Amino acid sequence: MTRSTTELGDVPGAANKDLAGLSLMVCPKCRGVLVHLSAESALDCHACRLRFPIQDGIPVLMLESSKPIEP
Amino acid sequence: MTDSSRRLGEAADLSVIVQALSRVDGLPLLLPEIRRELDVLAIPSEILVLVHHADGQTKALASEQGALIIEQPGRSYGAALQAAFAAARGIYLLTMDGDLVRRPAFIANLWNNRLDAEVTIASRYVSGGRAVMPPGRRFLSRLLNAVFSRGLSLRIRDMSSANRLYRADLVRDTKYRARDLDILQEILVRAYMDGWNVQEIPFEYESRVEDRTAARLFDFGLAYMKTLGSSWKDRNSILAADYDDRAHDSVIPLQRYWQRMRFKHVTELIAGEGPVLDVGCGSSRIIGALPEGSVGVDILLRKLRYGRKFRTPLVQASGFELPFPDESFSCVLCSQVIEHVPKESPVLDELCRTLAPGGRLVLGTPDYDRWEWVVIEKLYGWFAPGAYADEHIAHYTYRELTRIFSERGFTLEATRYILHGELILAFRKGGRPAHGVDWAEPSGAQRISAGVG
Repeated sequence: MTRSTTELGDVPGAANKDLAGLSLMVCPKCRGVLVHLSAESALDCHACRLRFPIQDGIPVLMLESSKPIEP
Repeated sequence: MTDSSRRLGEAADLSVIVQALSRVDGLPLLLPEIRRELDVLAIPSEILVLVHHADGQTKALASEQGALIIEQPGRSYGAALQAAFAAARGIYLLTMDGDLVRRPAFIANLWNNRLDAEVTIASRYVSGGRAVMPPGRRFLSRLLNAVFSRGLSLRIRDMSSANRLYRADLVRDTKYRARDLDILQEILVRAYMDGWNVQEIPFEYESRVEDRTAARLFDFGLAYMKTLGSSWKDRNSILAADYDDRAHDSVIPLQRYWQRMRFKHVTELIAGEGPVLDVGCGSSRIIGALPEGSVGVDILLRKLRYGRKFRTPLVQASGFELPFPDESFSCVLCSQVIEHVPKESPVLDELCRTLAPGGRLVLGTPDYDRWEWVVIEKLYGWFAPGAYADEHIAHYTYRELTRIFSERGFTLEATRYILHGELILAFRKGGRPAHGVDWAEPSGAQRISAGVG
């Protein structure tokens, strides 16, 4: 399934509305690039096939909070 | 049934919970008014009527208005309200008294303000609000609110208003201890504890209910005092989302002094060093003093949730696996963290890794070589058992830290103490910053890409 994504910056939440301010973030496991899926309110690491949630506008980059990306 | 109402069991944007309980005589006027207000909003909605017992007339009325009856015979207000939270399907839950005289126009007002806070209170006691009720009840209401608001350091004027809008997941997933009307205060205390935003909007309140009996008021008073006691413990717990921020203005002079001195030293030592990675930022006021391009990291989501008000980007992450590339910040701050994690943990490695060559590391931790700190911590442990003193599992000293960082090629540039016990060190990492690096503008290669997943 193709998911729609939008530009950075439309994530709900008081402080982190502009995720561009967090543009340095990398995957905590492999330190690779994260892809922002605003429709899913999540950040994906394709190398590790892990999805990290964004809760209340705050990226949760904890391995224990991540989920495998569905094929 | 109208366009905006949902069939029972369907999802809704808004659930209106009418807390009628034993006072069902006002429902014939109130329910149609609520339905009209919801039709104006034109959103998927439902009405739930919370009663102790529903007679045939109430059931027929509810059916006519497309409302769901929730019967809670003989159960307390707190339990009944939680039952309604569980039954409601809305993304937002609006609770309202079932004995209101005025048209429930505040429904639209609450709804339209929903994005500004997770809890919105229709408040009788903020500017523009009004309460029409018997003098005795009014006096007790004001007294109750003043005691709770001051006693628990909550900046809320009307904690006892039952007319509110909640984001549903906040209250639906929480188990409350209070069994009576004191659940209203507990909900707000727990919301603050977890870092949610609470706001008040003006509300003109007029009730048809006469003064409650003295015996009933005495029962309420007892329940409130009990909730005040247990809430006070919660509010002053180190786990409270706003603990660090509140400490800055603490009524305890020593705590206030300590927090303010830490703020002063840290902000002086990071000044002019460019964007800061604040590892273990908690809910400290330092977050609001970080320069543009800075990021705060903490492992506790509730503290970050509260910290959103400082408008600095925040990330929930572990200090053992910082989600940032090597050498990505010109300044790394880590205050009051390393004493909470084992010495063999990778946290110091991570601080060094993320700091750029030539960058500054500001590190704060108690100095266990100082007798002053040992005495202070002992006293702190006696006066506040279960607080931070019990969590200090890694005891560092000035000599140990300067040796560790000297071996890593760092140069000590500044040493500060708070009351001869808390140590704050500033180190310079060896090496020169890469030519032409502008810390406020990360390179394109390091940016998160936005694409199709």
